[in-house]
Amino acid sequence: MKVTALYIKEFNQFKDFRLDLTYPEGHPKAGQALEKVCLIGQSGTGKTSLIEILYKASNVTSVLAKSLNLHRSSKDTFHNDNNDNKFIELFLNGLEVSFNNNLTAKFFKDNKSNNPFNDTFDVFFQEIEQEKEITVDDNTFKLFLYPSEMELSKSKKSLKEEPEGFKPIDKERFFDFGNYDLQSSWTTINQAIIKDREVEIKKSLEISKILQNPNISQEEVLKARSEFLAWRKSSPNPLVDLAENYLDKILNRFNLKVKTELDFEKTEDIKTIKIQTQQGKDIPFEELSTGTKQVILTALPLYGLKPEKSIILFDEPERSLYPDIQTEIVNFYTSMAKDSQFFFATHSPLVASAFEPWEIVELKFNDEGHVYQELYYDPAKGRHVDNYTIYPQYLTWTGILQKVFDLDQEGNGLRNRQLMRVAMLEAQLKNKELGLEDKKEKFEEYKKLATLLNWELK
Amino acid sequence: MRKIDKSIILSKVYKAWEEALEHKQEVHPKYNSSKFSFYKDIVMNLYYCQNGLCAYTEKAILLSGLEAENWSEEGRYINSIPFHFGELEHFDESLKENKAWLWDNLLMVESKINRKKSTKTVDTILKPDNPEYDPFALLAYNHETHIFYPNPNLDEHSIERIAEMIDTLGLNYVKDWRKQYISERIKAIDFGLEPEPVKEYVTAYEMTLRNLSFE
Repeated sequence: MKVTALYIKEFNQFKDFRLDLTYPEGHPKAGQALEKVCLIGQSGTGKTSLIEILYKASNVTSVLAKSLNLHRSSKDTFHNDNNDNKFIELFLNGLEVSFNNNLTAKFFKDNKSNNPFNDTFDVFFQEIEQEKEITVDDNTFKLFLYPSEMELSKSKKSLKEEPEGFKPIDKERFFDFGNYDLQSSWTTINQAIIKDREVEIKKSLEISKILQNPNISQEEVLKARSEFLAWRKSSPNPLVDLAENYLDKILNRFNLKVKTELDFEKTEDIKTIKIQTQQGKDIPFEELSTGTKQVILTALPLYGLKPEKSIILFDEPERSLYPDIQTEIVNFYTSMAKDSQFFFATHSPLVASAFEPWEIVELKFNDEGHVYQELYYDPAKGRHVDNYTIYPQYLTWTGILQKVFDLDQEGNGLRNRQLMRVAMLEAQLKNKELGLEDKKEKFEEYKKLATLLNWELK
Repeated sequence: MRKIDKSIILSKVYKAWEEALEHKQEVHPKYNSSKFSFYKDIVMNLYYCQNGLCAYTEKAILLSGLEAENWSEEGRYINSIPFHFGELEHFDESLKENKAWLWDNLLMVESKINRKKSTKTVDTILKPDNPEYDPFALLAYNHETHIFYPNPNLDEHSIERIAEMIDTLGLNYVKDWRKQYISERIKAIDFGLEPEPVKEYVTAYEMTLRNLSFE
């Protein structure tokens, strides 16, 4: 299930706010839900609110829609039982969310109720196109919310325990990692590792048995061996898979890697993920840097719970990460959930550089103080790929800062002053009346200054 | 930064009022922004003289509203001020206290540039409405970095004064917009096409043409 459109009638800074979350005309996936969305905008424009609204609306919709006969318009109620009054106003004033399963959920308050602030809300489900069948999610659908203020310590509840605060309707499939201990999702990976180990031992025993047979031919030995290797290849060790295909790609930058050689002698060995230096020295988890812990811990639920056709919401994925990792973090996460929709709220131009222009939702305030989406195309010409005038993936980092993040200068004010000096020197050096010795001297000054300006002189 | 001719004051009432004050050497009413009765006349008169461009950077800050039907026979602006990106700027901030409405000291400038300049000390060597001011004699333009710099043929002292004022007036603050605006027109000429008409950054464009010997 993926979100294709969002409409907020009135809520805080949002008024008649509408988002089209599909690929534009002219795109090979035109009309389909965006696979990843980047929310950017000045502080206070509502990026985090949008992330939370999408989480709650998707949560309610996916659970309730499943129990309804959706071949006609249907209505159901849900209970806002999390003591979270923040969204009462939103639901009271009108919220509509459309999904790619041909369903629009319209949230509203039943007028029959005398007390508008009681805990029951109505959702009206409407088919978008009558002739199309609605496909309700299968059990692979999950909803992940990685809020900006995630605790990386173990102080939070484990995945098996009841979370505090906002209570998702179905706690087996909906995870707000502001409430859970991220490390607890290691359990699922751990189970896969143990299972893999059991199968591996079984297969090894089978081979041993064959080898102990004194009459076995060389051909049969080779066959048994190749069968074992073929099994190993088709079902890789989950820990090796997690390490080699995902985490080590980032951890190697910090001279770290996932420890994949476990001796299984102590339960401690597989109690949690083990990290070591590339030289093989074990590093206790608590001694890892904030950024390293964050990369590992946010990846564990994605790898362990294997969401598919799911919605994954990240608020500020760039936290504590060095620029080079920020450029890769979007691809890192999106590679871990098949056919899913990701939302990233960010302040980082490096994170934004991973997106196609139609995948960016830039929020701005209008003169009345309401938020609107800055369009990267002329609406008079239409929402077509050919009409977009900004393409983040084609821009330099400076270009992204200036074009996407509206930074009006390419550098500190002192840079312009030095560019003026360089222009002066250049004019003097071009003067044919300048003597050779003076020219050499000025050229040395020019080279020195140009180096300090990174030779970006065009 | 092009030369601005402010000799035409359309609003006869404001002109008479301002000249009388100057003649009597009287202190001006306090600068209280848009509440002042001639505020609208001053703003729109300045835009008229500046052709809707920022006095310093030549970026367009008023996109429409200078058409003849907007003015009365007495030269007063009859409509409300159209949407614009400028602010009323006192070239010499020190005159704001006693001569807040002095025509000679007022210009329309892009908001960011105005705030950047703030209360910095000024040097009339670069004052766009100064009758002596000639951008082609005082400034040079590097069409690769799109940077204005002092004419290197001037004496060291003048160069230093001009460099300081280029910085104060933010002439290079808009260089990235200017670069795009000029580059696409120069490329059109390069490819044998007719460039789009030049409405902004006219001085930089003219200097670029001269640098490239395109004229």
